[in-house]
Amino acid sequence: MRRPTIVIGVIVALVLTPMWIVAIQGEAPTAEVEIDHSVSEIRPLDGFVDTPNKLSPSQVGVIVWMALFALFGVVAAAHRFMNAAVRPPERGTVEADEEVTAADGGVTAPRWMRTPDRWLVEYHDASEGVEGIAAMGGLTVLAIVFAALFSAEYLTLARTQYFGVYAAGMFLSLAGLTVAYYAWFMPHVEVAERRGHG
Amino acid sequence: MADRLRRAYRWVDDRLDIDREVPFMGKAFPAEDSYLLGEVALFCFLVLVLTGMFLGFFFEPSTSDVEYEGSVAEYQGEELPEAFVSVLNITYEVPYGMFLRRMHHWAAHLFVASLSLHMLRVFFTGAYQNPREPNWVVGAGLAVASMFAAYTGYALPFDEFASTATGIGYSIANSIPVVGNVFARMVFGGEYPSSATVPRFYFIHVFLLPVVIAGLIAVHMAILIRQKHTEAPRDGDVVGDGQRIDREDDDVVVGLPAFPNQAAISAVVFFLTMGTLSLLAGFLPVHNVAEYGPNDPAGTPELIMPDWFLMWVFGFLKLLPSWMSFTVPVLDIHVSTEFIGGMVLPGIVFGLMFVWPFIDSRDEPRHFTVDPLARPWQTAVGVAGVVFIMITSIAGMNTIAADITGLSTGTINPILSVASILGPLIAGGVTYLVLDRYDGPYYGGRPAAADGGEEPPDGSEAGDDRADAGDEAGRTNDADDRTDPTDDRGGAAVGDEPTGGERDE
Repeated sequence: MRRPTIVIGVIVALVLTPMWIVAIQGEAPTAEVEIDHSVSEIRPLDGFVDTPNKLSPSQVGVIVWMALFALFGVVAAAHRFMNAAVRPPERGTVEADEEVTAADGGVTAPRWMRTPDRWLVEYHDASEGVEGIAAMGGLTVLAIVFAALFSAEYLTLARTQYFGVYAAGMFLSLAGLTVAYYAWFMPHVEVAERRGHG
Repeated sequence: MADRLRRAYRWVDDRLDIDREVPFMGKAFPAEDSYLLGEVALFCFLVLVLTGMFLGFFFEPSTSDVEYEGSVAEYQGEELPEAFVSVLNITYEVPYGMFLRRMHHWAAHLFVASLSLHMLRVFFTGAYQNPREPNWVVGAGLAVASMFAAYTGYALPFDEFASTATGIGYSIANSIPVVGNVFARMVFGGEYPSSATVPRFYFIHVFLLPVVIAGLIAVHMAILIRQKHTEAPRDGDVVGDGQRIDREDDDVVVGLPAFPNQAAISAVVFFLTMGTLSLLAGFLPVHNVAEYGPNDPAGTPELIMPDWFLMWVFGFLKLLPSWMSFTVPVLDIHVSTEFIGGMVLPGIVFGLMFVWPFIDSRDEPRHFTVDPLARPWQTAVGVAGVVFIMITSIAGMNTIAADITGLSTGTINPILSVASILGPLIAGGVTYLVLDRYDGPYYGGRPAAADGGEEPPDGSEAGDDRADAGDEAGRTNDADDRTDPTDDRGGAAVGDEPTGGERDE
């Protein structure tokens, strides 16, 4: 890391740290809301982890920024994996500048990618590796299982923590599924486009 | 199946001529991680709309008292405001209700946070400069509108905590000289809290502001599509389809085609955003109205604070001493500290945000982002601004700070007042000095020399890992026999003004 980046990081941390220490104090712990189960059959508060019963806006602020940084980290990692996995250096690539055509067995990019103002600058065929099929198969099963659990919870106790786990499992499986499809089954294409057109 | 799809496509195409628009699907999106923050914000807005629709089926925007017959034991048999009761019902009686209500809240917070981080990225990389000033202004409008949307939503359950915090807004609106009383009554439906406040805020929250935000997002996207993305400095020339694009040529943007590659990445961002919101909604309560109880005009909650993203405004109100209020002689207009702290100072902050691209203006268009370390004074201003917001946010939480330190707010406030002035000055000054004396590598190459010339944009001096990554990917080429230097469709622009690696002075 470059020296000025470290200095700026330290400056920001020197103010951010006390701000977060103050903000995370927020609300004092309170007793859980008491539910009369004779009125409603659902148990939205039931769960398997003890969590705070209320959060102050300042605590929410700290949590949401930490969540955002975590989300961005995962997004960046997935983004890099998607781009790296489809073009391992040892695999042969087809350079678009060879101007080969489909008939030559070369680049078969979709018709919308090339226009008078846009052209291909990189093209790598999908590897279509067997590990991609395994990953997609596993993740598809996971996504279906979590979706089924998410729906089934509605028919039973409608517990919020379980909804959260099932929904997160479903969405993360779908994210993984998309990453796997992109990495192993989608050609990596880059285009160049003139800015001057509409 | 394929035949049926083709026939369906042809049917639509005969009527809407969509085939003509097909090339739109190939638009170039530069593959930069940080560019995805805007997508996180966009998806949060989508979640807000969808979960808001769900909540709208059950919410009653009324403060009339009704008897509570739900499952929260504490309130059974009590006469409570209908809005409060409906939120209790959504939370404790409706399957998925608590989960989706929490998701709505977390999406609102994540929307503001991701939008803020997106704006910081744009700020520090200079991506607001010519020709993107209009889009910065639209984005700033989005930030303001989203904060107001969150504020109006905050008040809707009519619980004790939120309605007290909302009252701060009423005091601020009411403090505007001359027109304050009329303005506050118009926005809050009379003297706050009146029976018209919640219906008025409901209309603003579910219709007026979403329309404004959706409109601004549409304009933001339209400008983005027209101007196309900024691009990070390239590692070298880009060659393809018989053309060479000089690494400094910003007349051309290089990136992933919108469909299918960028669409797949956007789908991943969407799913990951949803996964994050699901975990937050599943495990962490937000604005738990059952814990706060209904609005009680006679009571004051132990802790009063606005949403975290307005804490700095609250800090102004806490720091400004009452002696700063004054009355304009002759006109007999009273200017209160509420007005100065709640309207004037935030107005200056927001005003600076809106006009910043015209302060740090540039005659020539630029489409490459710039290394923040190559922009000493702009980066210093940005760091000073961030430090200022953080210190004033601490001031907004001065009661908590007092509890932690064991000091009184009377002791802490002067310290924070001084810190809110000196802190940004010191942070900005140190940043400027460090960057001004920095002679190390910059992303995108060496900065322009002091005499106005430039050092060769040598990839070896780019000083970052991406140069190596680019070489590995085989995207960069130093020589290509097929390149036609006379080609005006993106040929190397030798002698053009350097872009990515230049230093802003």
